Amino acid sequence: MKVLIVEDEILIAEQLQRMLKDIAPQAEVLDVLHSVKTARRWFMQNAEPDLLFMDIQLSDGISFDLFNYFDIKCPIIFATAYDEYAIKTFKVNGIDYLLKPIDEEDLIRALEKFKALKKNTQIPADLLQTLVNHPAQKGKMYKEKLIVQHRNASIPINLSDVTVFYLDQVIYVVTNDGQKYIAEQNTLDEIEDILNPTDFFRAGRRQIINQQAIESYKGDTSGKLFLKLRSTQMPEVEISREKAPVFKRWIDR
Amino acid sequence: MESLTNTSSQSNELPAVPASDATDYGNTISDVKYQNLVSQLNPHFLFNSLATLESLIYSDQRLAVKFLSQLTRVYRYILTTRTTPLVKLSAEINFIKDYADLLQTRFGKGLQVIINVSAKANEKQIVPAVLQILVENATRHNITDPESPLIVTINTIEDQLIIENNLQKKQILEPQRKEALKSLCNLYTYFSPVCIEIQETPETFKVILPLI
Repeated sequence: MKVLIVEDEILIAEQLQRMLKDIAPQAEVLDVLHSVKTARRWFMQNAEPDLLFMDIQLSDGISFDLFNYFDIKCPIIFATAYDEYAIKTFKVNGIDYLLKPIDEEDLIRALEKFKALKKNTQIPADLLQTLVNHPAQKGKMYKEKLIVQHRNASIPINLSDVTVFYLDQVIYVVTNDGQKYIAEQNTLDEIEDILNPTDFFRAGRRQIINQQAIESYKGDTSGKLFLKLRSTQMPEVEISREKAPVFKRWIDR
Repeated sequence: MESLTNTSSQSNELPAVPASDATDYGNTISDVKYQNLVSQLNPHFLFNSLATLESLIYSDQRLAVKFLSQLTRVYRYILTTRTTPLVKLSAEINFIKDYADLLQTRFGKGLQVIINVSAKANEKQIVPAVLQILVENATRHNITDPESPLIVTINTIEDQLIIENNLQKKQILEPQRKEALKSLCNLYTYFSPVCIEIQETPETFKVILPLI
């Protein structure tokens, strides 16, 4: 269970970490953030945690402000000194509301609530891990070549030579030397299925890109990323704010 | 009565016109006392302080004991000065040092309080807990981030006490206590021919209190 703590008072954050260590030793605290500013930076660069502990009034503003920038879907346990914001917290995904100083019993109850919620709504993380590591998945062979039809002939293309697959009525295959072919497959999902996910990235609904083809990328203030591909005819590829952290982890291995 | 130079204060808690005639002394003083109590017993201050204390009990017992005695002194001062119209500035300064220490333990490098008061001024008088209202006001409305600290200075120039802070406003959720500074201004009209003066620039917020 990956946990993120947003709390402006360092000492109070330390105490919460100590309590979590006692009560939920399986919890891994990814980070402790003290301001809206640093939290915003964090969510731009990282995938969501499993559980978020969050104070409301921070040293530089109100933590609710984050919801204006990010579509945060993970469950949140709010912690505050005085309960006047309770109603508001449940409009976002607040699953519980703790008052400071945090009572151990209350924290245990909040974590049970989180576990119950997780059980009902999603596949437990450990099961997911089992599935990912399943021999059938592990031993899966990815294709090295893709056969495309061109002028009544079948042409084998090395997948390592592919810059990008993109959907525009049909699926185009663009190679590093600038050639463009039409794939036989009807959906990008079918293509994605035969590609090695360490080499290719689904950049959105319309594109799958080869890692080797990425020349550079840059972010903007909204958290989106823009990729420049080596093939000069291709426009910049946009990566959504939600997908940006996933992309960053994929590219930086 | 033109010393209230700017009504768009950092807290927007200022009256447009100081009302000296409309309110009688008894009501005004009980207003201020009430506000002191309300702000001192501000539940956020109390419960955040207790949460800090809890953490210190685990991590640094000596500091926990110091923090506890400062918290005790702060509350005792508020309670014992409830019925006192004026106190010596030196007593108020000792109190505000405790209060500032409590805040600094919590905010770390995000807050600096610099006090520089002349010996002569220390013998003058002031309405008790006024400084607490002003310092709390500053921390409530401004960013207290170690990367951009809030700096509050308390100085004296002759018979004036000057409390100044850099302005870096933050969004706040706490309900406004619009009456605090207003009651304070009103109260001062009973003690001093000189009014409280408030000056705001884009960078700073300054309150000038006449010493009595």
